[in-house]
Amino acid sequence: MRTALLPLVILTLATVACGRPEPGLEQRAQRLESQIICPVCPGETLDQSQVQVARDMKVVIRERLNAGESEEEIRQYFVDRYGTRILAQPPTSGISLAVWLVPPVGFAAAAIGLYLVVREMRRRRQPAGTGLSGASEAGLGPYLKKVDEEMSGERDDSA
Amino acid sequence: MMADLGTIAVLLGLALSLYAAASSVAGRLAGIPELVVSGRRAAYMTIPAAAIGSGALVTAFVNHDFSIKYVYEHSNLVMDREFIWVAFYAGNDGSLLYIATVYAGMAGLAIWVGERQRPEIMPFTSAILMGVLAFFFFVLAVFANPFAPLEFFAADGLGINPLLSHPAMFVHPPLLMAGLAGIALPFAYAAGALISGRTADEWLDLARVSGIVVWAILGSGVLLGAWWAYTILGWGGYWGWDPIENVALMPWLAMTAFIHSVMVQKRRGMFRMWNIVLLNVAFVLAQFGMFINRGGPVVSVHSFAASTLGAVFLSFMILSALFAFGVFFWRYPMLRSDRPIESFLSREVAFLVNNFLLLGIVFVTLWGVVFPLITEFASDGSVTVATPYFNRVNGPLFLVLIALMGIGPVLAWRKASGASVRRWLTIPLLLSAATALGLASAGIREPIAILAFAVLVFVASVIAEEWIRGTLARRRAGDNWALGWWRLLNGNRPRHGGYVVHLAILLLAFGVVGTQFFDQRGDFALRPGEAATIGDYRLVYTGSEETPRSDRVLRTGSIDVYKGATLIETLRPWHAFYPAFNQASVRAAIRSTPIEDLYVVPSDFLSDGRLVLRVSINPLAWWLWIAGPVFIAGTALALWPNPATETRRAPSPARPPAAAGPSSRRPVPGGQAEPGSTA
Repeated sequence: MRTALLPLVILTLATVACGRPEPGLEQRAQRLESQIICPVCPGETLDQSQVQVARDMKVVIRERLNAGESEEEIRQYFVDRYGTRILAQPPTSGISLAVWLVPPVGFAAAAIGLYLVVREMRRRRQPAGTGLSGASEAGLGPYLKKVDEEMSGERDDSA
Repeated sequence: MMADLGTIAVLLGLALSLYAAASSVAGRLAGIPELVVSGRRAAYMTIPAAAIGSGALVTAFVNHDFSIKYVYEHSNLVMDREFIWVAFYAGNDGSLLYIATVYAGMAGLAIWVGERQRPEIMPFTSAILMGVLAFFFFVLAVFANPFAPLEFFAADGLGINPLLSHPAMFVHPPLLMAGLAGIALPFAYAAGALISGRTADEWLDLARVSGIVVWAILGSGVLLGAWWAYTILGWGGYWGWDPIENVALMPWLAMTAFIHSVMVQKRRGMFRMWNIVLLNVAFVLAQFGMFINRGGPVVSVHSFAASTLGAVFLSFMILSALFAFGVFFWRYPMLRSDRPIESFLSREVAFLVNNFLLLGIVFVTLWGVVFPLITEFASDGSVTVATPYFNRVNGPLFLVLIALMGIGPVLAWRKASGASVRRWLTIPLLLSAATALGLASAGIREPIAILAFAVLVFVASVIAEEWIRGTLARRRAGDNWALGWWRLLNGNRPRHGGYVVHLAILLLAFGVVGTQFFDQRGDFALRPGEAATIGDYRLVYTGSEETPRSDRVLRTGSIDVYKGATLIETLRPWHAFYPAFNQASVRAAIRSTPIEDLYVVPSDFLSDGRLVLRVSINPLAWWLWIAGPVFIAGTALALWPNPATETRRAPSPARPPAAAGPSSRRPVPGGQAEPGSTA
């Protein structure tokens, strides 16, 4: 199975990788609109907002793109005028770096913790020290094994 | 008159719920059964008390009784008649009264059902349920009295916020508030059992069933809110990761984790402590939601702006958290698993990973909500955490979670065999790779979208494979296709109901990927007769008409939509300006097809006669709304009572937990072809 899948995956990735077109001016403008918050409506980005201020800012974005400014320069232009809160996602510097770092670090720590807990719970089955449940588990072992075998046999038949 | 009646009803509700809580506990501790019975009756009587309060407020609204401040602030004489009924929960005070009423009903039902199934845990469970209700009545009586009189005479009221005049107002807020408040039910069953010292599985079925019900109510409420936003907010979106949306999503995700993980306890007697933790987290998150909603420190488009109740709800949330985790740590030594985990490749571990991812999304979302507050205190410039952040961090987590929906079900309990897993996953993986290849060669250039579609196909084909194999087996037994499939589903309703819910999530994800990656939009300012082009569509603005209304300027634009040279539809979106509110409300006109929505909304009518149109093409948006009924159908299937198993499980509450082993491992009838059914 693995040998069949691998070429397919590689082929897919290759197809995707080679053909990404350069975004046009309108695409870049819309990308910026979804990254900049409308200053008068809480939490709404420019592309979500319907108010006049947002429409004016959209015009500014297009004028500056037409004048040859980069997306980064335009973002900076708005940050200079309104502060970092104008950006819909926090910058990856200063104190805002924490908002980006905490999730992955937290996940890594939690994943390691989860792995250790599961390993610990697995190890516990070696000594039969869990009282009644451990004893009954041991007593039922052959029975369960038989059920397993019969069940997998049935599945083979039906499949 | 109505004000007096309502005030009395609220005070009566407060007294009854306090008495119910106190006498249940006192009667149980002192061993006086009569006191417990009396407390229970008081709990039932909170239902009519709350209902009379709500009835009084609704009556005041219908009669335009502007001597009541809340009626004056949320209605007027000219508003549409049908919205009079919902104006009652349009503001902070009235919505709290609504919550108290619907919650009293749910708590009464929970006490009635619990009394019949697990009377031994009920004194403490009803005390917890009534304690929460007493809090609502207390806030109503002291801080947010909807019956407070207006200080001056008013001939007319201020009216309802224009954005709330939408059909979804009848269903979205009621369901959302009921779902959030209802999370107290499964929590109370579990905590009541723990306090009673019943730490085996006494609370399990009650908490599972009530948990699934409130989870479905909350989920429907969230989805209806998304639909509402889509049709009214005028930007073609349906989810904005707004703080208020997030605080409704978080308890739903925690409950999703619970209703998965509780299956491990039901089938294997494991994860007892963990399931309690999940319920505690969901309960506290629901309180957090109410806190943010009613005067929390976060700015949102949805919150009740004038509310100053933040501190009250924050205190209650902290109290809830202390209580929940206090009980948990007190009973911690008694909560142990019957059995160990046997293998990393097992359904138990799959459920753990599912919980890990769901709580991970909760954590990211919570972090995104509170981080701006942290920076506000810690530095001079604050930051915004909005949609791009959440999409970027939560998006991949959701994708992995969905992929797990295809892997978990084929893993057996205890220990899955590699051969069996390979046999079940080969076809889905091939189909999924073929999908990716097909999409890439069809010219789609969004790698993440291709990956997402491949994952969706993978999960869908795992479910389809199980249904096809099972139906084939039934066919050999003599059933026809449809009957065989139905009997397969009926043979194990919780499992197959779960699959139907998974399909609903796939439909939702399908719509999300389509709209997120392939949408097109544009803003156009058109004079009558002018045309705009977007995608394959040409839109001609033919003119607008003004309908005279007493409270608003209502203008409806007519837009002819051409595809090529053929006129395919005339869209009529409207724009209403309410001078009293200095606010506009718009309604999008949507041409919806399974392939794509053409979405047209009038942003503004300019004074020079031009119409500012926001037009977008939202591919696959149709599927988002199909997911709702499928979600409900799956939940109903999973919950449909099974007389046979009820009678088998009901007796012998004193059965030692370990003895449940063999019976719960019995092969499921009719489940021959299910992967992982060896347990």
